[in-house]
Amino acid sequence: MPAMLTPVPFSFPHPAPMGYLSSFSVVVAQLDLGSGETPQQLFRDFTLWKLLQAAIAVALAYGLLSTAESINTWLAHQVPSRFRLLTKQSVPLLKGIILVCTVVFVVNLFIKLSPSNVIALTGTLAVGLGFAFKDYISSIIAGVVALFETPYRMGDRVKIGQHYGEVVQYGLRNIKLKTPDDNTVTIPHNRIWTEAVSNANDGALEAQVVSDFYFGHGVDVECVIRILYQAAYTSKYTQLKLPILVVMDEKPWGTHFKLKCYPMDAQNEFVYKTDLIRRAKRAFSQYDLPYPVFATDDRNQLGENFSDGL
Amino acid sequence: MIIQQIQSWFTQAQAQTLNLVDKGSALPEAVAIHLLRQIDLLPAHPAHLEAVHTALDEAMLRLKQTEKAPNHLVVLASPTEDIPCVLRHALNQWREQHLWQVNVVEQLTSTAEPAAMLDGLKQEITSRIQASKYARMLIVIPRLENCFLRCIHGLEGVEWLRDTILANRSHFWLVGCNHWAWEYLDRVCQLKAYFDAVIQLPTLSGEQLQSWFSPVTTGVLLDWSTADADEQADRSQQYFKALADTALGLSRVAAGLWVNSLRYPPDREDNAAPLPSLTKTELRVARARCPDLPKLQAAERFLLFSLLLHGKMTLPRLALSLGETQGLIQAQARTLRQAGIIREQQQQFSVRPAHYPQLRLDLANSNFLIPQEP
Repeated sequence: MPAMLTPVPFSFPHPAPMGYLSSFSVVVAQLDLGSGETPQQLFRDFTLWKLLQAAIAVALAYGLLSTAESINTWLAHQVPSRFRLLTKQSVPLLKGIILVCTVVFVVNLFIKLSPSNVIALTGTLAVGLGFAFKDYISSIIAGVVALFETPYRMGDRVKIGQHYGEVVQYGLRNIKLKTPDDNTVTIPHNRIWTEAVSNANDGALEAQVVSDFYFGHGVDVECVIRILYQAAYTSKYTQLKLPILVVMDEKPWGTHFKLKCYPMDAQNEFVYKTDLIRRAKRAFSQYDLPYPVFATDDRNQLGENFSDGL
Repeated sequence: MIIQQIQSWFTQAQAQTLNLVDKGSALPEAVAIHLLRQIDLLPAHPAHLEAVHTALDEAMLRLKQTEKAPNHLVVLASPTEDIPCVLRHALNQWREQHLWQVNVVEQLTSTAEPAAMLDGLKQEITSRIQASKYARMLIVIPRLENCFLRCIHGLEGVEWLRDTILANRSHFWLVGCNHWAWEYLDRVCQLKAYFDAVIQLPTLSGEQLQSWFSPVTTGVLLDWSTADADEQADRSQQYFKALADTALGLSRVAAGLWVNSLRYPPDREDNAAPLPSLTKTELRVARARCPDLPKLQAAERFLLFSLLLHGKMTLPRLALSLGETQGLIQAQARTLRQAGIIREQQQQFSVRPAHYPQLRLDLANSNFLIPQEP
């Protein structure tokens, strides 16, 4: 017979760990395991050997996790570029499998994982953890969901909030971004519940690079567009299999050009942008192209956002 | 690329069944260079000449039948093949049978200035057209990859040539180009939309390579690791078949791999002459395989891709193409030359053909724009 809870009045469990443990013991004491099993038989015997096994399992899991990550990082640099991201993206799943196997093994050492026990335990855990570890569990669940929905993957270049960088680590609770300034930013997974994640490459090796150029109203538009296209076509970094586009917009203070193109490897995005701008400016210098002249009113608009969806 | 990799594994597995003993020391560089030079002096392969003749005849016939037929023929080949040599030999035979005046634009400028390159190209072609007393000419551009640079304004030469060829229908244009450059120029100048009369030089089979090499191999004493004459003939045939597969059917690549597969016998005395008479010294034939590529840096890949795009380049043109200073490129080029991946001849750098198959695979896996091999 399935376990039943005999209703007894008890106070709402305190969210503090000690309060949680006391509520846990109260609930366990109320379990009627139906088939004559006592609550104490929910737990297996605590022996030194089992504790040792658990410790070994945890240590082994820790070692496997570290080794898997190190080997994967090494392997990602050995394989050809087009397999680099695929290799990196296998790490979170591998780590998840190791963790799940370890947790199941350790829990099974001490608790009889029969269906009725699992149901009773998860109910208790949900109440306790819902308050004590709400955000932590939310992040873990968000991490599992992110594995399937893939708002970001290893090697992706993402912007979350004000932070932009490459996903260099995919942990149980968070991801780590390496920013262009070589900072590491830790972002919990549960940010995906409430914030938009802007992903530049979504698992691909290439990510679009947008270079902005500003000229006065009297600029020879055809000349600028021709130079910008040539700058993209002739750059050694350009991925010619993907489209190259020059768009322009009129501003009160001048004309704004955007060159949109892709490098062969998103890791080169800043070097690529520098190469494009450097060579374009060298070509511009051969022509007498007017640059924007800002009037006093225009200076007040300098804080405007140039990323207006072109 | 995956199919090519699998095919190369099968080829290597097949080659291992040849029981060719891979013992002995590699040939000294002087001997290797001597053998390669002998191969360079060989005439173009008859299969290549026939392909050019056939395509040229068909194009001329079409042009005779209708004025709207294409007035051009583009001949594509691998960057390692000597397309100017093929066109030269093909036209030497062809012009004897046809009444067209053939005008080969040989001396295209090798300047690193895009404006000077465009002016030079215009002057060269325009002066030849104006100086000719023939109403119709066959104008040959042996190396289209010499007509552009990967820099701003560096594509104007090809664009001008494209427009001139289409506008100047009174002459017939024969253009040679390697298919890496052709693929690149199609992406940036949409050449395929303008030029539809295009042929690829065919790849060579083992038998074709064996017969083409025979003037050189008969002058060398080869040891096939067997004394039986029939077995030698059989091993020779299988060897060249494996060589053709490994070399992707490319003659210059096959030449490089063949020379690399020759060994001095292990019992050769250390004080023996470094340049022995090749008709008296037995050279052991080992399994032909592509030399291993060292681990390449990203900058080296860009340099190698540039060389494959243009076939051969001087240092200033290479630096301009890569958008870097000559000092930096020179250092990278020296490193690659020391590794044996590139060579320098008459101040021009080019990729050693023996490395081409592995290099092609490496660049494809590094997301470079690589055309399909025929």
